[in-house]
Amino acid sequence: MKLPGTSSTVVVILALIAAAAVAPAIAYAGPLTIVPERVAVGLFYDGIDLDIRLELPAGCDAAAVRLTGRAERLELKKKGKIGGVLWMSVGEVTFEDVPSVYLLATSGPLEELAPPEVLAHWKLGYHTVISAPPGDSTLLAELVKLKENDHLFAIAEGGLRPSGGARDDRGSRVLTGSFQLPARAPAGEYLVELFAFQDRQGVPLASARVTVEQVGIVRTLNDLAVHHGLLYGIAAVISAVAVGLLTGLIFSGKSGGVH
Amino acid sequence: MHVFLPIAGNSINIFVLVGLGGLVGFLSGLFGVGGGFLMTPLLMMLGIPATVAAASDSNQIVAASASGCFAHFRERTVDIRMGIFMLIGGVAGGTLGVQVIKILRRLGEADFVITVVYVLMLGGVGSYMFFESLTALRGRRPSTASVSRPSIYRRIVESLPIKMTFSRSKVTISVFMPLLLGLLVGVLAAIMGVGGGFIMVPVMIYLLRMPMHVVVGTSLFQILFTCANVTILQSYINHTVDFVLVLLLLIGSVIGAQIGVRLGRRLKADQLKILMAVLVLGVMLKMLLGLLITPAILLAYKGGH
Repeated sequence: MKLPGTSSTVVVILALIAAAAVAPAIAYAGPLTIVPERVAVGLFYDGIDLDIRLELPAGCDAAAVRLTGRAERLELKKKGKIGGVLWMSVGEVTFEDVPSVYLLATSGPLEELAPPEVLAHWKLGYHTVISAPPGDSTLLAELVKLKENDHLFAIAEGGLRPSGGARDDRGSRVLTGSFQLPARAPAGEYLVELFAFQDRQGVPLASARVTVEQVGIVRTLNDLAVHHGLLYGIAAVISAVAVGLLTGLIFSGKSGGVH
Repeated sequence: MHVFLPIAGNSINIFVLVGLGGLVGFLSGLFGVGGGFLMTPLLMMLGIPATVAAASDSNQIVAASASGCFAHFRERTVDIRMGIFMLIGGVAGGTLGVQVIKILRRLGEADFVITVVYVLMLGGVGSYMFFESLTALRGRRPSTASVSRPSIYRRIVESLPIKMTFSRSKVTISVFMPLLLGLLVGVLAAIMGVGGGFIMVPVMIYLLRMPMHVVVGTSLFQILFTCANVTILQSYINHTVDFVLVLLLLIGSVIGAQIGVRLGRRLKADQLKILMAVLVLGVMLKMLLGLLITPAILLAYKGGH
């Protein structure tokens, strides 16, 4: 069976070789650059914008960059109507292999990039990476809503824009964009992949990794909570009582003359 | 200005958390309720996982109730003896309630029945408190809770053995009363997944006939221990207590609790009761709307309340 996009693979690879052969004096950073590649999650971390810079080889007319987190099993509560009137949890539903984060930026509308089977093959678009549990396909849209609401899923069609506009000597174009990695994206490694398209056929061109790690007090508290839960709990209670009593003392001292 | 919460795994505006703590602490000091019914859903709306919101809230309530309880202790409005008996009943009830909910869930549609019963109960208790206090405030009846109760209840209460005088509460009743009522509230709290402060308060007013100001202080005393227990268990078993979150909430809540206690002192018992009734009815209304309005998303993360 012929894979979608295989026909253009050769074209793109040749284009890359040609590009490398006529590389200018400055170091060639590769077709995909993500800045920063390491994200430190400290006490005042509030998510981060990851800058994307890519070189689209000559002959290619569109690009897509995808960032994905580790696939996980997701157990959720399903809401439904009981007695035709009241909305309540009506059971649980499990989705398999849902990426913790799925961010996609493209140079144009997804449907203009490639036909659905090509997009599905390269897992570009929500419905190509998640599948509904048997018997309830409507839940897929709800899962996407839930993830989008948390900014863990996002698709920016047209989010990759030409930088400077003109093609360079090699005929390649530079596109730039950004991913908004939300604060709630879990610590770990994220895979960023660049896909190039020519004549509605796509091929993966390059990849990069982004590492998100907790540092400082955030890491210390997390380690304490996980590895010394009992001690952590007792310390939390003692601190809470101490703060409560201290405030009580301060306030009663201030109003001592009133009573 | 945002702060990253290590266990919740999300960042939230510092001032929003301190303000939220202040509001809930104020209600806690004023009415002797923990405020979990309000805080947990609000934290979830801010993007904190349900399990972390519920567990961290318990820790925050420890601080607010310690602060409020201390103020009441100085005012001599904490009935420690009554509180201890209710606490024993409450712990036993909590353990029993967890088992009851398991059995109910196996029978199916338990959540539906429990929620409907809870909404009706809150509506009933809230309306009763509201109209009873309103009548008293209008001067038609003495403000003490001299409500005629079915004689069967009175007969049962009077027939219970081992009577004891609770001087702070100015009542002489069987020790089984606070034990059994504590047990009942404990079971309800465990089933509903909330602290039970606003079931406990009406129970103390109407079934134990304690004076309103002693009710608030004693309720806070009991909540302090219940929530300390929950915090330690949650930290040990589920690792869901976020201390950074707790710290920010309690900065607001301990101050709020003190303001609440002060305001409570200036209000008459019936004024306090009518405000409490409005709060109970508000919670009931919120739950009812939650049941009637179509949710924006038909899936939700598991855990929490």
